[in-house]
Amino acid sequence: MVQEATKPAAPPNTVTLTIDEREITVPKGTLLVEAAKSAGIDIPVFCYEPRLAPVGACRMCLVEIEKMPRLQTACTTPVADGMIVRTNAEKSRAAQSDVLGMLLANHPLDCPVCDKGGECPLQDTTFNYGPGISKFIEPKRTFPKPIPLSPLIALDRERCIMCYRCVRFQREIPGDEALTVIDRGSHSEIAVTEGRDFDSPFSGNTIELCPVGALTSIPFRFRARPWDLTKVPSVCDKCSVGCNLNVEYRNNAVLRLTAHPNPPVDDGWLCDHGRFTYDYVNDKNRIDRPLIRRNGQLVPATWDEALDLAAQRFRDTADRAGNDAVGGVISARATNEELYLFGKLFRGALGSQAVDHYPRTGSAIGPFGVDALHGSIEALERMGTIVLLGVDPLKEQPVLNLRLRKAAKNGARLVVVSPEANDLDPVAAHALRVPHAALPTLAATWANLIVTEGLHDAEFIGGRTAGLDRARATLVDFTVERAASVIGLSAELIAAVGRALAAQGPSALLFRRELSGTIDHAQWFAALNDLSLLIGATKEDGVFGGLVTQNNSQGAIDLGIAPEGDASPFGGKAPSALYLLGVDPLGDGRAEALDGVDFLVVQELFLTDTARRADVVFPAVSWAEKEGTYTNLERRVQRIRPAVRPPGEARPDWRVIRDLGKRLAPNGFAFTSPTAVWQELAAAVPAYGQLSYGALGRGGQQWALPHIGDGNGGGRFTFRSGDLEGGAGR
Amino acid sequence: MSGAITFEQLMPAGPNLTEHRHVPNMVDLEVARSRGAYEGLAKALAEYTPEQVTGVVMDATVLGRGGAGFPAGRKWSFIPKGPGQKYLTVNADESEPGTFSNRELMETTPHLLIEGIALCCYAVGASRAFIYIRGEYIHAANQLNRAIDAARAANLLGDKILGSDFNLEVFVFQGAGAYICGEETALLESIEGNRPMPRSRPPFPAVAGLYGKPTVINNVETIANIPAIIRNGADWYKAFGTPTSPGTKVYSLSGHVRRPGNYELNLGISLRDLIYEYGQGVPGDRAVKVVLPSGAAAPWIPADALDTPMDYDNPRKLGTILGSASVIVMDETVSIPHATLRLIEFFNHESCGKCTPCREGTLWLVKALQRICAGEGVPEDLQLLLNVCDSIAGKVLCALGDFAVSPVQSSLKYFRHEYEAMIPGYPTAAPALATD
Repeated sequence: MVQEATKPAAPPNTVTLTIDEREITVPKGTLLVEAAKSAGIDIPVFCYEPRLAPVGACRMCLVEIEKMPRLQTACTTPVADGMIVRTNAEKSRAAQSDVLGMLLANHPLDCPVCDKGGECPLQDTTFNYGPGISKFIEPKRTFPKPIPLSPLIALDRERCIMCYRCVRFQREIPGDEALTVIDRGSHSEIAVTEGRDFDSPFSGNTIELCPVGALTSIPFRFRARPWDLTKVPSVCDKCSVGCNLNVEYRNNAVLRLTAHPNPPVDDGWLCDHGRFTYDYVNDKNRIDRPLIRRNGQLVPATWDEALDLAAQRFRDTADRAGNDAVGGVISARATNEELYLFGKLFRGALGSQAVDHYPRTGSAIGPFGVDALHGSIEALERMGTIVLLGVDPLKEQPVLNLRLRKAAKNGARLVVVSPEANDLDPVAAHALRVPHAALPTLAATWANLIVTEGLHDAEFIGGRTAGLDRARATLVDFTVERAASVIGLSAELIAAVGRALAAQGPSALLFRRELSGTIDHAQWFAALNDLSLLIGATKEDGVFGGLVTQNNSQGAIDLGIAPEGDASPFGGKAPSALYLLGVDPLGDGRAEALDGVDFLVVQELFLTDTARRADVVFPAVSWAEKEGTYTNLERRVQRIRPAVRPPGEARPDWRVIRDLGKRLAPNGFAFTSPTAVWQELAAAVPAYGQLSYGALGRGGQQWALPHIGDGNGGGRFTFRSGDLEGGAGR
Repeated sequence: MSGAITFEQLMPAGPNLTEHRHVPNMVDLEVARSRGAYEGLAKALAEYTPEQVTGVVMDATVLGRGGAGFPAGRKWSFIPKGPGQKYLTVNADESEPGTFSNRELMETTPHLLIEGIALCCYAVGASRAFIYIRGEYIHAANQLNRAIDAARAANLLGDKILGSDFNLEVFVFQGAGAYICGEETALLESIEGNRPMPRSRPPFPAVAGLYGKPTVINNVETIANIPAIIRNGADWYKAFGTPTSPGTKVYSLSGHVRRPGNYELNLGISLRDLIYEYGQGVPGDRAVKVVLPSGAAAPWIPADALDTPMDYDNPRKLGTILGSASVIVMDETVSIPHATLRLIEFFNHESCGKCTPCREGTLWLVKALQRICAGEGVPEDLQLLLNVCDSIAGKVLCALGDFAVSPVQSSLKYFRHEYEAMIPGYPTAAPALATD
């Protein structure tokens, strides 16, 4: 009793219960299985998966709860105060063993030839909880061995234990009914829905969700046993989301990529493009040594020959035709360290401003005075309203699309404005078809409507912004009627959706940075700036920004790898000598970019069309072979790590740039590792200087936006439509 | 044998539910109203608040006729008060083997069900009701639709019913042939267009049922009891049956009896009276071997317990239930292991497959019983069958799995010797039994 009296009161909205004689306090509404997990008590599960709605199907997690006559499934039972639970008493242990006995009765037990063997929850759970011997002596249920569900995924129906995780994943997360269950009872089987293909861009997640070897990766089948693989945690380089993954390799070949959950970024999901695109790393046709052009032919050379030649010709060109006659374009998929060195090579060693990244991300400075997303991917889950203008995350940032669906499920009202049908239309409160050319008008119209009708948060606008009156004067012509005639939607609809944007609650505004067609981008960004202020997307709890597309577009912006003025090696005056790192203008249909170039250096994985025209070719290394950092679309800097060795004589890209630098500058290129490059970079770029390098390898870290208008010495957000001469959009 | 016996005499009308079973054209609204149809609804709308309707039903203690015997009034009282969409779903997916009372009721007196529906919806504040009807019940569905159309035309359904503020639309939803749809949450899934698999509870349907809204789910017969209760009062109703099981029940009698059929009788009638008085005994005056009190789904009652009153209490003393009161009689000619196999095959066929014990366990039982019936059993099999039953019962997601073990457990409890006789070399082998 004395102990009772001295026990600290449980915090509000928590529940205290006893599991296996241990008292546990957890938030209200927690499921028993999670409560147990939080106390380190393992309750075996198959169908339960925290990211999917519980179904209570497999019955593996049956536990005893005092005062309840029947055993209960821990995966569907929320905790209650004073509940007394036993997970390991005789009754629950017997039930767990019985369920496993049933699951194994018709399971083929072909573990020695099953890909899942060694990382199989059914194996592990049987080992921990199952009967040692089967009582089942009847002939097993058989099916023809695996059938392809898609070119990527095979289904072995004999191994399936009907946990429905795959079907549930597809329906609940990407919102796709491609998978289903056919037939009934003991004849049930997972199948592709009639009339459909299993072509979900997220299908690979079902392989990892499958707790048995029923769904296996066709590219990986029979290539290796899990215990023979070495796993290196890294970051996907296929888009700007920056999902975390494991590079799994054996005998210096990448054999598969698996999720390495970093919940704030990826929720543990990968898209199929990210998961299955790795064969190129192992390709035998990779460039494996430097090449130089002799007598019109590209022939192998030593590194010193190639580096000396490139450095000499760059120096000669600069001396002869001016520094800006030597240009360089680096892929927006390069690491921050490579981007930094590349910039230093051109601006520092060569004194050239003709340096750029590709694909080029145009500047879109927002209300924070920097070109970066305010808020975070994770914050989207808590939005009341999310406005998407012209973006197509399913195609460009696939795993972000899943987060937006999750936000909609959490109650966010999505307003999807796009020129074509969008995957998010079905979960959107409003889906409007608007061509790119009309998006600036629409944004300005909504801004005008909100301010005219006084729907904005007056306290926020009054206290933390400046220039509304000037903007208002510019926006005044943007009536819904005019927008209706431009866009071809009814004025009523435009007004109704505009009013819906102004509803209270955290807001997000995500937009396409570069619109196709003849667009006044200054007007586009000014309208976005103003709309974001009026709907509150720039508040502490909001999200605002243009979505970049490449894995390190944001890094290229942050590090300033873009020319000033018209010095761009692509599009402006073509340089005489050009260094392309991971860029293939001929392959991309931009042959004009090479007009006037008389000395071309190309650093590439493969002999691309552009590389075939080069005077010097350096072998590049893939992302699976190098070390460095990427900055994702939400300013999160994350570390990648080398898994396999590059082929032949190929060297990490940063070393190649460094070695050119050493030849072109007396000092400043004495780096011995990418970490050393990072240290200089972090000292040079203040936002990066705040980051802890250690944290970058453990889920990454977002660099901090400047605080504006928070009363801590910051300035005010400024309306910008008023800055445009003669009014926006005329 | 006299040829003068009439159908009316063969199948007497009961005091409540089947009172008008022999009246021709009860589907016609005029005919039905001439026999008192919708008087209860008119009375309720004129004299009772919704809470009072629930109160009368609670006072009458209408125990759910679908099998579980849960008091209907209490179930209704769980529906949250206030605005918001609510639903009534009538379970007319009468698929239990040997159960056919709802069918007759819907075919002969559809307005009785519709009036009951209107009363329930008025009581709980539902403006939409679905009758989920077994797919094979095409005639019954047609009768219901005809009756609904007529009632709607007469302002007994639709908007502002009989001048009140009460609105109601009733829809007939035809199933597609799955026993599991009789399970209330699988039924909801089916209406929603999903694969019919039971939901995990909580939440219960009264909180989040059809389309996530509060939903009452009652059996046809439960609902059909309501109009007379509202018309005549709870005390009238409680004069029937026993103090703890008030009212009448339509017993569906089938199997080895001379006169199978639906008999509306006071709750508490004994099996003996049902079989010998109403069913006219067993053909050939053979002996009753065993009785299945609730179709395939409940533990059996052996022949020495035929005096058990068939109410909600007494069958429990024998470890079984009244259930849907669909009594199947098996006489002495039946091979128990073969009958058990047939019943288990049914449950295995109808298992939805969602949860492991039912999906895998019923298949296991079928395979083991097939082997035993083929003379290939081994002595350990009988214990194995009981062990498999233990790993199903109480561990499954819905009642189907619990039902499925009844035939195996009951048959081994009362007729173990028949199995032993089939198993070659069984230690205490009795003389072999004829099996056809």
